[in-house]
Amino acid sequence: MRIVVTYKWTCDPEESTVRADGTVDWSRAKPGLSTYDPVAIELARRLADEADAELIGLTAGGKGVGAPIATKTALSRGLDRVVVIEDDSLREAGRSELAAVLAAAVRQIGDVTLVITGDSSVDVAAKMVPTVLAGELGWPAVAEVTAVAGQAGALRVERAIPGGAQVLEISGPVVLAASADAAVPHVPGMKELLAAGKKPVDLLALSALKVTPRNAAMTVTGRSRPERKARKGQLIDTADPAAAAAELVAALREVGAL
Amino acid sequence: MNAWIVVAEQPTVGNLIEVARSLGGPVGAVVAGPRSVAETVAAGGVDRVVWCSTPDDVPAEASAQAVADTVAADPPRVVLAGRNPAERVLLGAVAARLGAAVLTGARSVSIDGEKTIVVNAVYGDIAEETVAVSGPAALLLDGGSVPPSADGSAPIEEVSGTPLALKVIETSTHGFEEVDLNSAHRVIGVGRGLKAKEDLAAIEELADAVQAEIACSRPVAEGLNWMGKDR
Repeated sequence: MRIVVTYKWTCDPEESTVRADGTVDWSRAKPGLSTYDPVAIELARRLADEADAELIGLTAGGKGVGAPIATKTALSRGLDRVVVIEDDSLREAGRSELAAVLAAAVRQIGDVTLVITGDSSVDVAAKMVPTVLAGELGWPAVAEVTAVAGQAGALRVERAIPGGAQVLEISGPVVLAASADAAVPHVPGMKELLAAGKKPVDLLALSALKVTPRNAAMTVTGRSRPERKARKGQLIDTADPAAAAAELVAALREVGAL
Repeated sequence: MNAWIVVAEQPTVGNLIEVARSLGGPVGAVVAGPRSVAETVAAGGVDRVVWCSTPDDVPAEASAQAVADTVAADPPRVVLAGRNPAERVLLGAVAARLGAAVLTGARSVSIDGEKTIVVNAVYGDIAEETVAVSGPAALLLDGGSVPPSADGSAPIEEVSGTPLALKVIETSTHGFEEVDLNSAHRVIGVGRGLKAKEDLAAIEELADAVQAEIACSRPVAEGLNWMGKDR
């Protein structure tokens, strides 16, 4: 059984600045593993161990995603090997295009019956790549997954729904998007960090993949930086509770909240 | 079809219908969920409703290919879905089938000749891009509340294809009352300034007094589990 877990090597928008003209300056941002991807890898690793399956990391992106620092960081989280599509044309790729590339890679890897992804990426946070990926593969997808057990062809999946949780039985290949709190990722130890350097890295050329073409094109015709309403930042001293309550009510009335 | 709306287990698509109507042209809805949801949407001012019926123990996600088939048979300019896991899955299947562009931060949607113009918030809303899309666009938007009843109701076409291999074997409730924060007039936000779960009672009293809903920071819902994740 082969399990693929997708991951992203990218920058956190918290480290970027937006210029007055609306363009984003990433020059002071350092790339890393997207925040919730270690959760997905942890969940996938546990399942792979139980099912005695090979766990393959998969990523696609612009220049840098295939660099040793990127691949080793991902591998150290518990992957058996990684498959990387590094192509600068993917830097500005839309969600649909990226999903199509990942789907082509899954087909290329072959014998994959389960794909696990994170909840969403730290930078784009669209929550759509896993679902379009499933559509491209013709597989079902389930999001907000909090637990997975079993083997390919007989998976028991727990997921959050409005008001509670549900357990599903899934009897075919599927894409599962892990909830951000599905697992607490362990911190890789020195042994894992060292072992990561020896694990296989397969670089796939984008041109060699059979990617289903898109029927839509997007052009950015304008950029802007939205006006940010300044927070009032009013702190009320609660030494005298009665006076504090009066001050709170007055403050809320002043801004029209009451 | 000009605009298709994909709907899963709940009819919270009022805003989607409004946006779809604003683009002019016929609006259709394809529903994967209980028949009652299809009926609510049919009465909400759309021109056509296709209901993918499945046995009770089959989740909406299992209808993703049937939903994609429906939309592909009458391809639109835009497909809209609300921000719920099941609807994201349905929209994903449609986007893949159509080879559509996907945008998830739309602040506004309009038409310019053959193109669909979307003002899209990016990178966690720190910036905005105006995007011109040629070809089909799949957009995630806030669903909004249940659509108001229109005069008359669109007919419901029932289809029952072969669902994908998913079955519900257990459902449990967490006991938190879920609310729609988007339609609240006032929201009180709380975080880890609260020392104990019991302190929430004071906030609930305030919320009652001023008719507000309570929202919380992520740790309060996820780590501490004092409130539902919808907050």
